[in-house]
Amino acid sequence: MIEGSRSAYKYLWPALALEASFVFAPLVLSIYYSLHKVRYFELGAVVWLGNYLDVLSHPVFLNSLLVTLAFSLTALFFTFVTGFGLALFLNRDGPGNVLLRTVVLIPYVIAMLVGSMLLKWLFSADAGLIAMANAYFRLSIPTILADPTYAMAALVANAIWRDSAFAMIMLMAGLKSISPSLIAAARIDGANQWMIFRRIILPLLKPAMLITMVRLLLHFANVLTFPLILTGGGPNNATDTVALRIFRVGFEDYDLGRANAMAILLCIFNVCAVMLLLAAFRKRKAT
Amino acid sequence: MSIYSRIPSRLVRAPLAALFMAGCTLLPHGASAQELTMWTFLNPTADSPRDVALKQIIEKFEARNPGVKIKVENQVWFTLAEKFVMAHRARSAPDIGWVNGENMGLLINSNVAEDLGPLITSKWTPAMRRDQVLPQANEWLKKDGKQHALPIMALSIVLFYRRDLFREAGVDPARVKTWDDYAAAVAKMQVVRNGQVERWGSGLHLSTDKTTMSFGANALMAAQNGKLFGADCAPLLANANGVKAIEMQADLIRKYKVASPESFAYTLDDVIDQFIAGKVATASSGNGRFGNVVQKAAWGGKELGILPWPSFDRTKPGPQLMSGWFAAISKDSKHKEAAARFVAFMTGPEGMELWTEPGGQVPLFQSVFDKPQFKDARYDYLRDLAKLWAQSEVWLPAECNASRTFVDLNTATQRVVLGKEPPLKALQEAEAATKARQ
Amino acid sequence: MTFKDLPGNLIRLLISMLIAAVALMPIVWGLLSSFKTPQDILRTVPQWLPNTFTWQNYASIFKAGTGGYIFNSVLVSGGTVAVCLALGSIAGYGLARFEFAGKRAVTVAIIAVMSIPVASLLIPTYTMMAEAGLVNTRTGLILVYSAYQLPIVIWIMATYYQTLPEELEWSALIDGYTRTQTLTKIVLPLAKPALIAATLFVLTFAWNDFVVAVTLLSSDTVRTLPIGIYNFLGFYGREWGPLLAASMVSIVPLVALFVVLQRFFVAGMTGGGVKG
Repeated sequence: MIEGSRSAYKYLWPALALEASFVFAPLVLSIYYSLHKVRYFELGAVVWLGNYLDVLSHPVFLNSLLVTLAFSLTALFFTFVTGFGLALFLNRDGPGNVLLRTVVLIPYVIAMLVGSMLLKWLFSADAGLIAMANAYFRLSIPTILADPTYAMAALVANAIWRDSAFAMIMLMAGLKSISPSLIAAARIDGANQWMIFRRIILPLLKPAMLITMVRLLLHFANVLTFPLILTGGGPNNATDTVALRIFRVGFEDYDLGRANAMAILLCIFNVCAVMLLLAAFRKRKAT
Repeated sequence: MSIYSRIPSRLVRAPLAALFMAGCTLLPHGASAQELTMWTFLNPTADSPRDVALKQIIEKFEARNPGVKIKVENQVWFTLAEKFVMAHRARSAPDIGWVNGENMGLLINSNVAEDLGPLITSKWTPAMRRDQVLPQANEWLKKDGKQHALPIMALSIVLFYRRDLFREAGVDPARVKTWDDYAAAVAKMQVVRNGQVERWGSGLHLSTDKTTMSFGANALMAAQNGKLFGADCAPLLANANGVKAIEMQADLIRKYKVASPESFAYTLDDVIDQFIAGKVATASSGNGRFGNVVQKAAWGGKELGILPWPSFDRTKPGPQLMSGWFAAISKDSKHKEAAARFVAFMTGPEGMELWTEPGGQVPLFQSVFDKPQFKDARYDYLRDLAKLWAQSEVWLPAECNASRTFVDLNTATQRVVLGKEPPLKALQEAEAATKARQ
Repeated sequence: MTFKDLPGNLIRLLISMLIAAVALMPIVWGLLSSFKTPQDILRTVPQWLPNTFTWQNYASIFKAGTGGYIFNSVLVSGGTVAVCLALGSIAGYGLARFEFAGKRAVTVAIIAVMSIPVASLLIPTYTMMAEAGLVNTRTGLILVYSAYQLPIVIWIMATYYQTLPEELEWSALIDGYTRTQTLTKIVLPLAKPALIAATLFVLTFAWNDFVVAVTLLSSDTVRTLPIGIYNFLGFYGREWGPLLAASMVSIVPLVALFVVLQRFFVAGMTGGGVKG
C-alpha cells in the first residue's frame, strides 16, 4: 500500500469524471424530481417528502418491498450456489469444459426479453413444454404461472437459469487467481481435497465471492425484465417487485415524482443491504 | 473568370452581393426544400399492407408538393407516445408524431401538440364534416376547444370467433346475445383429452401487463351505458354492475371452466397466439390483427369472424371500445404549415383511399366507402366493421388513464378467483388505485 | 484412462448432459422455431422440429435492417468495452494499491452506482443528454453504458490486482519502470482472467440493453440490435419467427468471442513469478 492521495487520484479521476457526469448528475436531477409532483413528465409543485410518505404508506408498495426481498434473497442463494458448483465443476481447462462453460453462458448472453419469453412458454400449462409433458406422459403438473407461490418459483428459476453463468465466471476468475503451486505444495504436505478447499481455496476466494454476491443481489433487486415478461407482476401482485412498480408508476401512470421516490428508497435499501454484506465478510476475515 | 470578379470596384461588388442575397429570400417558398420528420411505427420500406399504404401516401403527397420531403423515423410502437412528449420537452421533437389511443391522455395532458383546428379542420367544408364515418373520433381528441390530433386509423377491441367451430358445435352466432349464452356456446367448443384441456372455449387475458379491456370491463361498460368514468375521471367500478361483471368473468374460470386458470398470466399477445394455434375457440383483440390471424391460422383464415360483444341485456350488444392511431404536430415544429398539409392529406379522403387499399383499414369518410372500387365483396368486412362501430362505438375520456383502470379490474378479478376477497371489496380497491393515479 | 476412471467419468458426463439440457432446452426450442413458418410456430400441440424448414425468418430480419443494427451494436459495445477496460483497469489499480483520503467514499460511490435502478435515471439522463447534444448518437450511448458498468469493472480489477504479489511491482520499479509502465507491462498481462470476465459482463450489458437505447436513440441509422429485436413485438402481433431468428443471430458474436477469449482464461499466471 502506498500513501499518496495525489498519485491515487491520477488513476481515478477519469473514471470519477465519467461517473459524475453520467450517473451522479442525473441522480441529483432524479432526486430533485422526487421532491415535486410530476405529472405527464411535467414538473409541478414542490412537495418535499410528500411523495416518499405517500409511497411508504401505500400497501402495494410495501407488498412490493417484501416481494423484492423474498425474490432477491432466494434468487441470490440458489444462483450463487449453482454458480459456485459450476465454477468448481468446470474449472479445469480442457475442450470439454470450455464447451460446457460456453453452453452455460448462452442463457446469459441471449436478450433477457427472449430468454424470459422462452421460459414463459416453457412454464405454460396451456401452450408450452409443460403442456407437451402433460399430454405425453399423462402428468398433471399444475398451472405454474397462475399460482402465486409457483409464479415466484418460476421467477427465481428464471434468475438461476440466466445468472448462474455470471456467478460461474466471476468465481472461476477467482479460482484462476489462486496459484496452482500453492495447491501443489499443500498436496505434497499431505492435505486432502476437502482440506485444500476449506483452508486454501475458500479463504482466497472470499473477495471474488463478495463481488459475486453483491453484484447478484443488486442485479436481482433492480431487474425489471424478469417480472415484467415472465409474470407481469401477478398473480395478484405476488411477483410485483419494486423495480416493476417504478416502471409502472413512472411510465404507465406517468407519475415520475412517486416513481423516483420509490427508486431512491430502493437505492438506499440496496446500499444498506450491501454494507451489511460487506460488514459480514469483514467480520469473518477477522476470525 | 466569373462575371462577378470582372466588376472592377469592390465598392460595387458588396452591395450587389447583398442585393443578390436579399433577392433570394424574396423568392417563393417552394424554391427551398423542407424536410419534415415523422415518427411512426410503420416502415415505408417494408411490405405489409399498411407500410405500403404509407409509402404510397408519402409518394403521392411529395409529388403534389415538390418543396416538401417526408422523412420517416420508425419507432417501437409502445414507445411512440412517451418519446414524442419527452422529445418535445427536450426541444428535439419531430414535426409529426403518431400517438395511439391508449396514450392519448399523455398527449393531451402534456399539451405538446399544436392545435389542428385552425391549421386543418377549420378549413373543412360542411360536406366534409357530414362525410365523417366516426365524427366522435375528432371530438374525442378535442379538449377545451383544442384539436390535439386527427385520426389516421381507427380500431376497436373486438371478439374474434371461428365460424368452423361454431358450425361444428351447431351454435348460431347470431343467437349468442348474453354472457350466459356465450359461456354455454363456447363450452361446446371445448376439447378435453386424457384429462388435459386441448382447446379452451374462451380465451381470456387477465395479465396486469400489456393488456386492455377484458370481458368483465366490457360487461361493466355495457351495463353503464358505455361509461367507466364519471366527472373528473372518477372511476365507476364498485357498484352492482361491477360486481356482476367481475363475477361473470371469474365464473368463466371457476364455474363454467371455459377459460384457463392460467389466464392470469396471459397478455393480449398470448391469447391471440393461442387463438391462432387453435388452443382457444374465441379471443378478444384489436381488430387490426384480423389480417395477421388470417395469414397465420392453420385452421383456415376465412373462418375468422367478429362476434358482437355479448352483454347482460339481450337487446343491446356490448360496446366497441374505440381507439386507433392519431397524428399530432409538435408545437415546436418549424414547418407547421407544411406538416399540416401532410397531416390533412394523410387523414383526409385522399389518404383514406390508400389506407383502405392497399392498407386494409376502414376509411373514415363515407365518400371513400362509396367509391366504385370499394363496392367489391372483398371490402364487406370493412363495411360490417363500420356498421358495428356506428351501432356500439364507445370512446372513453381521453384524459383518464383507462388502460391502467383495465389493469386494476384484472387485478380485482384475480383476487376474486383466488378467493382472496369478495367482488365488491376488490372493486373498491380497484377504484382506489385509479383515484390515486389522477 | 483406466477402468477405474470410468464411473467417475460417466458421472461427470451425466452431470454435464443435465447442465446442458437445463441451460439449452428453451434456447434449442427457440432455435428450431426460428426455422419454422408462422403456422408451425403456433400449433395446438407444440412440435420440436419444423414441418417445413425455412430460412424466411432469417432473410426477413436482414431485409428489415438487422445488418445495420448489428453494425451499430458492434460499435457501441466495442466502444463501451474499450472505455470500461481502459478507465477501469487504471482506476482499479489506484484503488488496489493506494491508501488515500476518500478511499472509503470511492468504495461507497461504486456500490451506490450499482444500486441505482436504471429506470429512475432514464428521464434525467435523456434531458441532460439532449442539452449536451448527445441524444440520438452512438457516442452518447457509449458514455452512458460505460458509466453504468465502470463500477463493477473497477471492483473486479481492484480485487484481482490484490491477489497479485506486490513484490513483482516493486522489482519492476527498482528496475526503473514507472508506475504506469508497471501497470501496463507487468500487472495487466497477469490480470487476464479478470479482464476477460469484465469484458464479458460489459459486452453482454451493452449488446443487450434495450431501455437506455430506446430512450436515447430515435434514428434508424444509429439503432442498435436490441431495439430491432423488440420491434418484432409488433403492434399487429408478435412476430415470433423473426424475433427468434434475430435473437439467435445476436448470440453468435458473443459466444464466438467468449470461445476465443477462453484461451486466456487460465490459472496460475503468477506461478513462476515469485521465488520462495
